[in-house]
Amino acid sequence: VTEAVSMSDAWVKAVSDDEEMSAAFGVLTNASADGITLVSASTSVAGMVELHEVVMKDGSMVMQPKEGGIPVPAEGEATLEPGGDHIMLMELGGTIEPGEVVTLELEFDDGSSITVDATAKEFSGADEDYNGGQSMDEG
Amino acid sequence: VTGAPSPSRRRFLTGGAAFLGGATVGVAGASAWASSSPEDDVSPVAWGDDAVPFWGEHQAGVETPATARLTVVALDLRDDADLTSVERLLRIWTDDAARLMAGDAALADMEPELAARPSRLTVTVGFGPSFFEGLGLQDRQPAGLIEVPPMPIDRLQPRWSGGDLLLQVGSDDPVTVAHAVRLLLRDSRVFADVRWVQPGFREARGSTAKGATPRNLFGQVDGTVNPEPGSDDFASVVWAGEDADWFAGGTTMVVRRIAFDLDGWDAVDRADRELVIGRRLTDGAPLTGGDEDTPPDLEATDADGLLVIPEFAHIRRARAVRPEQRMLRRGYSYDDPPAPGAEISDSGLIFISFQADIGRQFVPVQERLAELDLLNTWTTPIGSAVFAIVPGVQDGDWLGSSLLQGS
Repeated sequence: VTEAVSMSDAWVKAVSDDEEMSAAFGVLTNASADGITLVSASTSVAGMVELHEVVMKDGSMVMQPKEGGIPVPAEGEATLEPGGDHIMLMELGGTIEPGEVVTLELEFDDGSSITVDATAKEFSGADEDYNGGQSMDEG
Repeated sequence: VTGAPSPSRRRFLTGGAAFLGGATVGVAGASAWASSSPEDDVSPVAWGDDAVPFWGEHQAGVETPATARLTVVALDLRDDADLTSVERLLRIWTDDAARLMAGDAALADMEPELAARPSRLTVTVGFGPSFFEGLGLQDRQPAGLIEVPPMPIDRLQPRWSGGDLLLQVGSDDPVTVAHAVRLLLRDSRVFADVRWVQPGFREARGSTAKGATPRNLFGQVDGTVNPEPGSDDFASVVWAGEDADWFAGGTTMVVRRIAFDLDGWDAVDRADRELVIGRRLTDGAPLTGGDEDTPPDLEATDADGLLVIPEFAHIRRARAVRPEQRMLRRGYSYDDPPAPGAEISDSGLIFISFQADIGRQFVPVQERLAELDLLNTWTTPIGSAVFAIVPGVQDGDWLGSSLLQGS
């Protein structure tokens, strides 16, 4: 069965010992004539996975869970990238070394799911301190 | 940027930096550089889109046309490197190289616009003898990969010599080279330290006839006698054969940094310059006549009975006395800023050769040159390194897999 949505250029941010969070990025492509929404994700390397967005709030950009998931338009794309929508990996069990491959399970609102291999890359951006939707740079 | 600060700019200014800093720089850069008039935008891109295939039997950057720019980088693995971490590095480099050569941004590439014009970009990866030793793979080191023996003319400096890993990055566009090198080194930063970087150049693309032999900074046509790309002859000279086991389809690379004494060369008149090399300066033809591609007549004498091409002439010393001593030469000039003071240049040649077997092909020629080549008066080898250029791979595989997966 060919799923309507696929993901290309998938990667995750490599993390060293003292970090507990990472994020996954890539391009979701919807080949179907209907809009489909990414509603959840999971991976064996993270105890908790959320779909996040970055929004402007009180003059600052903040991360927060994206209500309703990440929509992928009909015959269109959704790009998950640093500074935008992304898959947040929390409660990491250990390091994610550069070059390591992390397998992600993505579930969509049409009931379909796909498995994606994402390569870990060293990356100094996407350095969000998720704190439940509060501003990152208070003070 | 006009009007109210955009959220990203505002965020940059308030110091939140990392997340959106890239976007901010992009905006500022666009306004700073957007000074050309509309008429300037109509001419089509000449060759920025030209792309060299990455996947294949051999790595690119050897048999593919030499680009105008080339940077060679040597790296040393960290002490804690092992086969597992090296595999991860090579998987990343393979993915980066395949994307960049196709004109696509690499994963996590924060400057994707700089990847859009490959301009014949090639990325080539190699392993030095110390790579094999450090990873306990000595018994799998290719027989053709040996260190160049010390030559009496050498004044080698550690800062230009050796290295566990090699990256050769070539393109006709220096912006593309800078971006690719930066990105590849960013991705290797946790695995390896940079040992040396040598940026080189040739004539700009389009400034000389296609396929013309380049000139070095002595003004000499340099690199005339080379095997023809695509020929069986090229394959036998350059590529390791099936008997090379995991290395079949690979080659060896010699990188020698040759400092030119341009001040001394200034004092040599044209007639003597031609005797030193054995070729005419104007067109590179041998002093015994014909054109650049005419074989020199090494026996010819003048009215006084003297050899037309002297015993000390570079082309006499550098020629392969047997067919199996030939190699592919693919050198680049360097012209670095001199140290502040009386020196006005720091120039020379990044000599690069590819051959199936360094001991059989390169060393005999180098020994003849070291023994008696008047050009040595104005040239000094200050760096030397050798690498095994691993075989090319098919889509889905990674560079070095034939070595590391069999270990």
